[in-house]
Amino acid sequence: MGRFGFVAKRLLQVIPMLFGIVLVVFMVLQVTPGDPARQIAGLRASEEDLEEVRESLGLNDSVLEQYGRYVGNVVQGDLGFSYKSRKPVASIIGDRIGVTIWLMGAGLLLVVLISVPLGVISALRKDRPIDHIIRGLGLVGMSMPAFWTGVILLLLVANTTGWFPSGGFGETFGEKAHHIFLPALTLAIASSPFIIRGLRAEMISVLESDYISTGRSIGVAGSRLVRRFVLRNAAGPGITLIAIEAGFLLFGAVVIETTFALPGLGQGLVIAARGRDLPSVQGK
Amino acid sequence: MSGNLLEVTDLRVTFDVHGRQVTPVDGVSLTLERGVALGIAGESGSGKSLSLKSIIGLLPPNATVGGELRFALDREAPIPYAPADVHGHGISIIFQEPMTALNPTMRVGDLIAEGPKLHKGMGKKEAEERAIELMRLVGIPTPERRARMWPHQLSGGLRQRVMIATALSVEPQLLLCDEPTTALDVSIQDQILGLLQELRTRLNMAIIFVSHDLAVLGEICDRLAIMYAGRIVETGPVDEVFADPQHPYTEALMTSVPSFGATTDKLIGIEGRPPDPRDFPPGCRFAPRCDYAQEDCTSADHHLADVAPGRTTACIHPELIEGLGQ
Ligand SMILES: Nc1ncnc2c1ncn2[C@@H]1O[C@H](COP(=O)(O)OP(=O)(O)OP(=O)(O)O)[C@@H](O)[C@H]1O
Ligand SMILES: [Mg+2]
Repeated sequence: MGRFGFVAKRLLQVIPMLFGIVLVVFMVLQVTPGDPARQIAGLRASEEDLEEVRESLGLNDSVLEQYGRYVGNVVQGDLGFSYKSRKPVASIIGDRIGVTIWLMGAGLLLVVLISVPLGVISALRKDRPIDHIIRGLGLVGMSMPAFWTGVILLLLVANTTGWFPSGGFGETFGEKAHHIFLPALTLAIASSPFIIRGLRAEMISVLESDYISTGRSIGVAGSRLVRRFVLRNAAGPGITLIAIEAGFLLFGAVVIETTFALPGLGQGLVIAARGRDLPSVQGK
Repeated sequence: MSGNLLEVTDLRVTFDVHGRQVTPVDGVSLTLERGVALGIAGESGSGKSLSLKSIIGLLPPNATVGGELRFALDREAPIPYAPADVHGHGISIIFQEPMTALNPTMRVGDLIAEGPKLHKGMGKKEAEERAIELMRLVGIPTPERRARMWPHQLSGGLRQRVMIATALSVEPQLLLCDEPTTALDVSIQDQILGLLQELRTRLNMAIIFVSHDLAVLGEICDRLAIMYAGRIVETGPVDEVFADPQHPYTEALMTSVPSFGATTDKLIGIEGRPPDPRDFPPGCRFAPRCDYAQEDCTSADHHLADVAPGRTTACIHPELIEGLGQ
């Protein structure tokens, strides 16, 4: 029950954040140069045509009115129509969101598979050679931009071995997993170092606590001590850490989808932004 | 069986602090006979906790231990041992703060059952029953119900009782107590002291009880060791030490406790601060704060000399001590 309340509270806290993000995206798009009407009507359109387009899209209203109307629609589940393709934004997002969820899900899975063992080993072997190696690798991973890691993996793994496709997405589960592996690995390489570092610190503070001494003193040792005394206590903060990181994974996904030509939200966002397709960008 | 259970010879604990060697425990020697309760008193930072942790092998990984530790285990005479030899077997410890000493993610019954499961070869059911039995032994009411509780659901006194039950679950011959009552309410303190007293005679355990409270040690201990700046400076039977301290530091500690110092016109409390392990003074380390200090004190080697049967002191001028005028 306590845990459920905690999760509910966290989810509620997300709502004002979403409004903030929408507002920021809205403002940024308003002030960046480029006229959506011009983009839709084409370069040769007359001033009257442009005016008509603006009128129909409500672009002549004040920024505040546009924002108010937008938010009003969003809370009713209506994200508007793409200025460009005239398809409902919600359906464009629907088409693409599956890919992004795949990428984030697979990325998160790899983050957990990589970070938990390395974080645990690093903490248990604090200041020993293996700890230094893991921390060194972490620094390297942390300092490489995600698109760079992606390009390296494409060049070194996909192109040379031919084991993995260099772009696109599949139809069947197997195909999808195959296509998503390198992008997800790219995400994981960027995110894992932070999780490893956090888990290591958390585990070290657990290892220094009195109840670990109590456990040892009554003869609990080895993997039993790690499981029943260390991991149980580090798990809560560890999950929080990973949940926070999941938010950052979304930003990483935007970049990586483009690198790997994945037809996800991130790629859609880039295409829409280039075309000044305001509702599409905001919807994402 | 009689004879020595534990022998500690020239124990040293050294830390590497930013490239400098610091030795907060610097030559502790003591022997403990079976079934005896030894009290260790001394100011904060004198190395009491580190000494206990050395004995049970729970020092932090950045500590280096020197000297020799011998424990009798199941044998007649003490032999050198490794920490793993006494974990869950022979020696247990209880800590000052029962809240932090209990695993917050384990029901207290499960924690107490760990020892019997691991070392007595008991199955789950049997170990659970044993845990409830131990909880009853340490005076926890309705143990069947409380065994299912988490540490945070219990009061401070009950938590410390759970800690004691956990320590007893491995049937130790030696129970180390690191200020087990300091964090508790005064009324609860007396209950816990009474319990330890009772358990000790009932189970015939030896105890090392660390405290800076001489009155508490007087209640529960047979013998006393006074610790100052990483060394033991005086030992003896509790009553004799209280009646006739043979080290100026012991006397000073006693005057800082109202019930002992009441009969003197001496200043209550010890002037100055205990020395920092990074910068211990030469010779007798108490000399800079000592009322009786002589010139040769600052060059005296540390050595516990016999002054009477069962009594030792590190002071080279014990004849100067006036006593408390009793
Ligand atoms: N991990 C460590 N690294 C460096 N120095 C340490 C470490 N642990 C303890 N010390 C030092 O060792 C000295 C003795 O510590 P200890 O905990 O044994 O004191 P104590 O006699 O139990 O005091 P208290 O009454 O406050 O519990 C202290 O001065 C402390 O600063
Ligand atoms: Mg202490």
